[in-house]
Amino acid sequence: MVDAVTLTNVQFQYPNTDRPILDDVSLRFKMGEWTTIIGHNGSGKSTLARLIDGLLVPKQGQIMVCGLPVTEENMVQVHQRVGIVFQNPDNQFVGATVADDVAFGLENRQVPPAEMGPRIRQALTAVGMEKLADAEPAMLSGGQKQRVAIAGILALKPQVIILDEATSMLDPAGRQLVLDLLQRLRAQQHYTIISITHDPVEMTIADRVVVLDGGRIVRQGPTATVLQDVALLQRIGVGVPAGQALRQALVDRGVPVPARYFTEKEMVEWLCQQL
Amino acid sequence: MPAIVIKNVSFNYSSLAKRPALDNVSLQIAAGSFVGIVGHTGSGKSTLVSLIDGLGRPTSGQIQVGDVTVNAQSSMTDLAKLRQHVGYVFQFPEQQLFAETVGQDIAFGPTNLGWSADRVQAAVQEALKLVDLPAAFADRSPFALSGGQMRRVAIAGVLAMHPAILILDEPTAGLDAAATHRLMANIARLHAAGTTILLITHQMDQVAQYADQVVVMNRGQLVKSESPWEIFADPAFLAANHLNVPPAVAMSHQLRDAGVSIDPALSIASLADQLAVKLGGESGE
Amino acid sequence: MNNKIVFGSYVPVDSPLHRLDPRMKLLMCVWYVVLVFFANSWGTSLWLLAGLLVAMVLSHVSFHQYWQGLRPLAWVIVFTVVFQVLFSSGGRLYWHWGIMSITHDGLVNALIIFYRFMVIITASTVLTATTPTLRIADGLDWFMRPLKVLRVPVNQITLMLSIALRFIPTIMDEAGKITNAQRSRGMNFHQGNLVQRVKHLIPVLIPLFVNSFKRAEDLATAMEARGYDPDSPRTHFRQLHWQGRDTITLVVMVLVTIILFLIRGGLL
Repeated sequence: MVDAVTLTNVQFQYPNTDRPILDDVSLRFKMGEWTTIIGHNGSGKSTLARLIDGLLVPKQGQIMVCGLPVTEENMVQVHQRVGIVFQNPDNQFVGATVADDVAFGLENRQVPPAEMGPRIRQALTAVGMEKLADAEPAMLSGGQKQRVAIAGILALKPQVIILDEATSMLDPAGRQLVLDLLQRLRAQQHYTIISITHDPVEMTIADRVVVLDGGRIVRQGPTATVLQDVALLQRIGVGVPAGQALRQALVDRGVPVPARYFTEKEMVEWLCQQL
Repeated sequence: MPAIVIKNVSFNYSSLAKRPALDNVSLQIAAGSFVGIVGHTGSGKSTLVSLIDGLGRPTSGQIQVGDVTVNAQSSMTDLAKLRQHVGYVFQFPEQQLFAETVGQDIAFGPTNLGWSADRVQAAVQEALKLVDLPAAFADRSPFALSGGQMRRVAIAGVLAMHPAILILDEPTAGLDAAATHRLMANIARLHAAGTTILLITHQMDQVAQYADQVVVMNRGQLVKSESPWEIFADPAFLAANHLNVPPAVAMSHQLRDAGVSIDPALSIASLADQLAVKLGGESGE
Repeated sequence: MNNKIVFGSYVPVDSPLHRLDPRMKLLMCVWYVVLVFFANSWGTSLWLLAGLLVAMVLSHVSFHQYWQGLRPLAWVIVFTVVFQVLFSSGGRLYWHWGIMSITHDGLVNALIIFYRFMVIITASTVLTATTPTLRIADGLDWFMRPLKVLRVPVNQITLMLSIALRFIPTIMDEAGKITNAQRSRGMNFHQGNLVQRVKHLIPVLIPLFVNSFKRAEDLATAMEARGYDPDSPRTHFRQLHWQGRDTITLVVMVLVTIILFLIRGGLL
């Protein structure tokens, strides 16, 4: 099966900087898989997202989306296959109402007006915002705006959904709503999800974690394997999931805890067995 | 001695509002305390602290900060007097930077207080130190810094005014774990030096770890003002007020429910301390 | 936040005026503003005012809400009126001091300016309160279509306009926050002479500009990611439907105009 996204030896440097922000990055994202990309601020995570969607052009290397090279000629198909939810909920809300915002992408794709109504309704139902179709952005919470952004992407029937720190400006309730929605979308198995985050909870939901540091991939693998390395997480400045943090704190205090990944629940269960 | 006394304060943004933003709130905050103010979005947290900073006039009731008391009749000048005691770090404060250099931006507040040039300069240098930025930063443009550094410059701009009471609204929002940790350490140091801290946050782990008083707001009303021990001991109360349980507290509750005899813990470290004693004993170390 | 009404914001209720075609409402508003300049007497002015009041009632938006929206502009109006009273001359002199004087013509001019200001601003508020900004842009788009022949980028202009309108509440909100933050740092907007007061705006305007540039950049990236290409044709989700009630409104406007000129000509 074709991979959803592949990057081969990709290098990118912003103008007026002295070193590349991404250097010789090669990565594969399998169809239907949920990958989290972590790294401290400025590690090149957001650049990676923009490269995949063709919003930035790499200096070297090649990027493919579902077998299609990301080039100037293919840009229309690339934008249709890849949807990005950005960090700031306000700065990506184009429409005057929820329905108009979802329509924006369809209008750009020149979808006939008669077809738009049902597609918008379907997309809004998928994110649980159908009752607020006529609401204006000023009346919505951050979490609701992000769900509308996701609906705008779903209406275009994409294959890859990228979340670029999409939950970082939300309150816990809003964040939970967005994460629940993403888990529902994953269950449908139509989408490849790439989430860029600092949030320990968001990390633990993924199938796979990729760690970026200094423009390079320093670690990648199944979530449980990567998150086991607490020292690495602390070094690159991302949050340590609570189960792992407790395990590490116990190890630091001389308690022999098995060297594997613990969720909070597993940690509590293990402790109960010991005590 | 109480630093802040709030008596029966209500506040309405507009006569069209369906319910008041604050509804008969009474609260006392002791000088030198670290208060966590929590509640879901729209619960009235920000309105409460903006009144403490004199940015609005209570519709009814009175607020006393230090030797200044304001009520519905107070003039703008009276409200401004509150601000001599209170510093307010808004959410995403880096969005308020405006000056050509970091030094000039930090000097804005002290200059407004009418301090002498020497005193202002000393305050700028001291404030940079308080937020862990090198003195040389004073000559750089605030717009050429990283997000985390801009945040600290903006906070320094408030600290330079030497407020006895410091309000912080979600100071770590959008920061990565390392920057969050460093900023919270800075705040803890200010608290240790005697500053009264009012921290608005959704991050319950920060409240559990640092606060000695927790104020819970819901729909404009003050629901509870207690120690973190009391607040986090009651999962049903937290759920009713849309508050998350910090992971350390959740795990200690789960262990207690499973019959493990430990005290409720507010941080991973204190939980680990207790468990290490038990586990260490069993494994004979 | 939902209870705040800013000048130019849409009030989502159902009313006969809300249901009209945006093209008709746009036409009606411009038409009305032109008529205001033909009002030259108590009779004509009251007639147009009555028309406006009927529209306000039909909009199902309360007078109180209109007032909330107009209040921020009250100072501009007061300033202009006072300026007009004190600095225009002609007719009987009632009072004078230095270059300032109160004269009969000054008072009449001030009254006329006050009237025009009030009704024109209120009329545009009726339009914006009953029509979502995007619909206004759609209406404009339609009126500007003939310009496409002249290679005017009509679609881009109206999209730009609708996005600008969409961000007005966001930017107002932000301006309020920044103002509070700088007040909290001891800035007093009401102190000093005019030059100093203008200087006070710098700590508010600069962050507002910086943030707006950042926002524009974010928005451009988001629009590109969603397939927007200024050079490609786009379809439109919102279709305009001219209906019977729009024709009726057009007839009413013609009648209002005829009666206005009858009063003006002394025939009524």
